[in-house]
Amino acid sequence: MVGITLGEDHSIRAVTQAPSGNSTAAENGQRPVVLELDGLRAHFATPQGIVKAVDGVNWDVREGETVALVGESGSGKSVTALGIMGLISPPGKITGGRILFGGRDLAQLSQEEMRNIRGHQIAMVFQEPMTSLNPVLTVRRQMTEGMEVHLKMRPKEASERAIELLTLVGIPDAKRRMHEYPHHFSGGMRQRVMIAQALSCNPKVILADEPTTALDVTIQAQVLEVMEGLAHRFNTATVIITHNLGVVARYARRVNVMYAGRLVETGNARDIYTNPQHPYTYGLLQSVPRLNEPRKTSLIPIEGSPPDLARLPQGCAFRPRCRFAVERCGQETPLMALVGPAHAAACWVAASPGGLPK
Amino acid sequence: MRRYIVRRVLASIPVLAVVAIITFGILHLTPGDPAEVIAGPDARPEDVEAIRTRLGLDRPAIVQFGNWIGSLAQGDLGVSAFSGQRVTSLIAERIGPTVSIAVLAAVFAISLGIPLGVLAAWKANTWIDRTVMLFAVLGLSLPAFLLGFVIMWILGIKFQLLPVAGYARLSEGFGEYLKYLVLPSLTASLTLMALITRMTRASTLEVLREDYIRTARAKGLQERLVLFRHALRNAALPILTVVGFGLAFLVSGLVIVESVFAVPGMGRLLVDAIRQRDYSIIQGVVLTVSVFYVLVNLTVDLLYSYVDPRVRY
Ligand SMILES: Nc1ncnc2c1ncn2[C@@H]1O[C@H](COP(=O)(O)OP(=O)(O)O)[C@@H](O)[C@H]1O
Ligand code: SF4
Ligand SMILES: [Mg+2]
Repeated sequence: MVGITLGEDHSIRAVTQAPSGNSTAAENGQRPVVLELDGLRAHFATPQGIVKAVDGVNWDVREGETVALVGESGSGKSVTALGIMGLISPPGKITGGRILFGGRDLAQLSQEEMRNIRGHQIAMVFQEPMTSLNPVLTVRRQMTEGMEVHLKMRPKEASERAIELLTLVGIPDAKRRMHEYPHHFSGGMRQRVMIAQALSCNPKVILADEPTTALDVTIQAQVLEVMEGLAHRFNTATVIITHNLGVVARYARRVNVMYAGRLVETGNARDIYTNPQHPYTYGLLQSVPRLNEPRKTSLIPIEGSPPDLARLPQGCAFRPRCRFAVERCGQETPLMALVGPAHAAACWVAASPGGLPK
Repeated sequence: MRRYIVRRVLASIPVLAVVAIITFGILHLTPGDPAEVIAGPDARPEDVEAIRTRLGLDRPAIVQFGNWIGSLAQGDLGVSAFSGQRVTSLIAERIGPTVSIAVLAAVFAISLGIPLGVLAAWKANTWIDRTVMLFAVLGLSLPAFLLGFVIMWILGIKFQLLPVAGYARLSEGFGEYLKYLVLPSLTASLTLMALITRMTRASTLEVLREDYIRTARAKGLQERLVLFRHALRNAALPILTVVGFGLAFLVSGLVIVESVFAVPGMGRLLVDAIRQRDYSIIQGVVLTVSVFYVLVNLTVDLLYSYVDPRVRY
């Protein structure tokens, strides 16, 4: 079920439903969209120039489903998530687009209105479990404060729920251990605490920014499993942000690929994995091991490095690293175009009749 | 935790021993013969000799030290060479005003300095921050007595809100007691307050960049909780250190403050004793203040481990 609409910048946008949620779930047999980005832009005004960290991004996520936001480090994934949370710090700010959630545009809300949404309706799990928990407060304190603020729970009630949640995420002896400090927990256990905390107020959406990147490979799978299991159980939509396409293979229904602040490919996970259309996505797949497949004999990293976001080249941002580039790539920026059902890519060659030569 | 406390308390014993030796040394290291000074310029040699014998100054230093420590252990600091009063009772008489001013000054410095520092860090690089920091710089660069006169003039003379000199005992009523304390305490607190404000700002500013502050905000906590629950406790260690050092400065500053506001405290006792070379009193006051320093240090150390669980051994 894909609607094709014309975006602000007249690019074709592949979203799973027309924007603003004006068709209901019942109409098309799909779950309703809970969060939708419509041409989101976030720029940093630095002395070196305007860094266009997020530059016109569209995607959405439906109730209870998992989508992935994938791209190399520096492609704008974290800034996108922080933008949704209203937490981009100066000199950065949202400079355009809409963040549609619950019938409102979050980009227009006041700080206080956003505070009521943060951690309550939209929660976030961060990458660094070592530094994202406060070292001088007990796990109990850090688990319960959100519930006390948003759900108006009494400390005792919140503590009881904290024990339940910590047990659910697989922390043994939670009743005793929650009185300990973060440095008494291993990295994997801390990330479980973060996940339990994020789930504590029954959010509609969880933004998980590289939730397992800092962990050992074996622990990564366990933590993802726990997070996905609970999100499913609580019907929480999850956006898993990662630079490792292999990690999300098993969980995400849709995959959005970002490069240099823009979306370059979007599609159902299966299509992205079996039939990537953008040379960048193709490169990403070659460069990472997959959790659910036997280890490939050789991994091929993408050559070169991401461009300077303050000085983007004319044309396609990926051109300096692209082995399929044609003349047009250096002149015009490719727009998102359908390359298959529910599958779009921003690449001149992929959109041409012959498609990407493989 | 308990073992750490015990160890830390035991560790202050050698420090106290060193303090005792140095305090005793005051008598012998200062120039001039104490017996001659006490006897006065016109005294006959046999009078000086008599005083020397009476004070035990003719005996070997080690014996004198032994005797001194012996009486010290019994809480005896000797008698004033001039008035013959017991040093312990002289100190007891004068310690009330000094401790009152010191405590109130510390309360002022901490309860105003910390929130101001947090505010400045929170509003970093805005006019609020700049204003707060301007006052902090003034507080640090102007001498206490000058500030004392300015405050005395504004609150005491221009607006006649508070008495400008003297001291009222607690027995004369709490309101009266407090009224006389405010001006000297405020004056004594300014330097420490400025120091605490600056350290709190610097330390909080650093902490506000940490990932866990972003986590706290992502939870939708009110800024008040983000700042005072999440940031301040992490910023507390350097602030505590400054409070510890600062209290020592504050107490030395009391000598001047007590003179400016005519408060009959230990500072005045010390100044008078130094003028008269009344060694027992000097030793008694120095010893009392040193014990206070050691206690402050001990408290700061114990607070470290309370504030930051990672410091626990
Ligand atoms: N505080 C900042 N100041 C200037 N530029 C920033 C700042 N934070 C992020 N950026 C820019 O935004 C880009 C995207 O960052 P980010 O969203 O963190 O990437 P990702 O999460 O995909 O690794 C970075 O490459 C950087 O150029
Ligand atoms: S538009 Fe051109 S340069 Fe960009 S990815 Fe496609 S082929 Fe490569
Ligand atoms: Mg990131």
